Amino acid sequence: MDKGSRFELCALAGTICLILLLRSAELHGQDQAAPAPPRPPVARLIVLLDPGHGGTDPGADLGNKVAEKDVTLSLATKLRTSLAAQGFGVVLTRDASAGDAIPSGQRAATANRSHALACISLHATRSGSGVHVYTSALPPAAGDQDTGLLPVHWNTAQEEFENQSVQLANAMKAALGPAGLPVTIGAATVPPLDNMMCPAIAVEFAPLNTLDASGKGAEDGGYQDSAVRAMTAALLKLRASESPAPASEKGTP
Amino acid sequence: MIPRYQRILFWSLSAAILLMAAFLLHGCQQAREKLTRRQNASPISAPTAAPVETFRLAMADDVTGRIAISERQLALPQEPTSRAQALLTRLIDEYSYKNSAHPLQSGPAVDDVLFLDLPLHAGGTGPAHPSESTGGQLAIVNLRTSFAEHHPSGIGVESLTVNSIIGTIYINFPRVQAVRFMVDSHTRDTLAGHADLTRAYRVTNTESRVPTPEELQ
Repeated sequence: MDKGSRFELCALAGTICLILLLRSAELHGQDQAAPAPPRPPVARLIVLLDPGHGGTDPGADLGNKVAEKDVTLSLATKLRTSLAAQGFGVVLTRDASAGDAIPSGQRAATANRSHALACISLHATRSGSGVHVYTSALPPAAGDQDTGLLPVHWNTAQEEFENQSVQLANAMKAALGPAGLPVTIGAATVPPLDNMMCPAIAVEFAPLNTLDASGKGAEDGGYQDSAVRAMTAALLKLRASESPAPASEKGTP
Repeated sequence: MIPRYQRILFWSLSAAILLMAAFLLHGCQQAREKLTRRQNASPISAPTAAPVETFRLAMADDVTGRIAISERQLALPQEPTSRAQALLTRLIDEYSYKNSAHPLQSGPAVDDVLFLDLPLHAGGTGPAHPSESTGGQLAIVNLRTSFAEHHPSGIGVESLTVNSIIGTIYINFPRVQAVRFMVDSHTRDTLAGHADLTRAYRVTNTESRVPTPEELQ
């Protein structure tokens, strides 16, 4: 190859490199200038279910070798099926495979990532009677304070949602009562309610009638089915009040 | 063919076994009743010099899920920590009685009770100078592990026990602004799986369930 051809070849290669460089810079500039695609609106059709205890933590002994952790998981599984059939997305904080006890902080973290319409912690006991619905015992946050830029304290994260949690508890009471399940509402300091950044309640299932020896406990399938139907109805009503036209969002939890 | 004497022996021994079983059951029942009677009659040991006085207990009820104030009369020590321990021991004792509205297992429940002046400084000490004191106190209730481990498990039942203890302290010690629970001098996550024991309970939180001393007068 003579000297002139070599020079022409180098000039050609240089031109190609320059064109490629300019093109890539142009594309990069376009990328930066392009407006970010609009973020999809937060789908408030997710329900977080937190079956209490699990793994090495059996929870309360409900008699007949039934542990609370098994009853809460059974309730959560039934409720998940019922809610999924109604178009809700359901997030569980644990499943049957949980080997170790799940810390309450981990449950709250799962809840806070889910942006859920409702966070429901499920429990069962042999003490008392009927269904107990609890909200956090934290006082609700003052409404006139703009807390948008303030950090949220982990131990009082629920304060902002306290009023919505009370609404959720009232909706549960309104649905469980007509289903023949006696309901009491209260406030309690129970982990992980105080750390949840969503409308959160704890629902505890006690025997239906402690005075009657044949009173159904939370392990009873019929009791669980009635509770699941009523809780699904309550959440449907809540969803209807939250979003007036849920049909457009159907199937996109 | 079993000989007649063997049959007689067999039936005699069977009858003796049944009789002994019935006698044993009867004895057990009598012993249990005797223990319950003794528990009802001797709540706590108090100094003989102390006068009998009226005090209030915040009693929990599992059926209603509420706490009601009851008056009792007893000789109590005057020293605050001993007095608080005696009051809480009496409270938990009453829950172990037959037909209690909030049944708990009998046995020692409260190891000791401490009162610290607020505000607390690093290391958990009280105010360095009397002028710093807000006049309020933090009560630290040190429960026994055996009490926590035998406590019935459930949100309602555990919350009632905690609120009952807080309420009893609040009614009888008006300077107390917060109550903290320890179990055998160690922190514990929950009482029996539900009620949070990791934080200090502000006694104002229980006002809706427990009347203030002013309301009671």
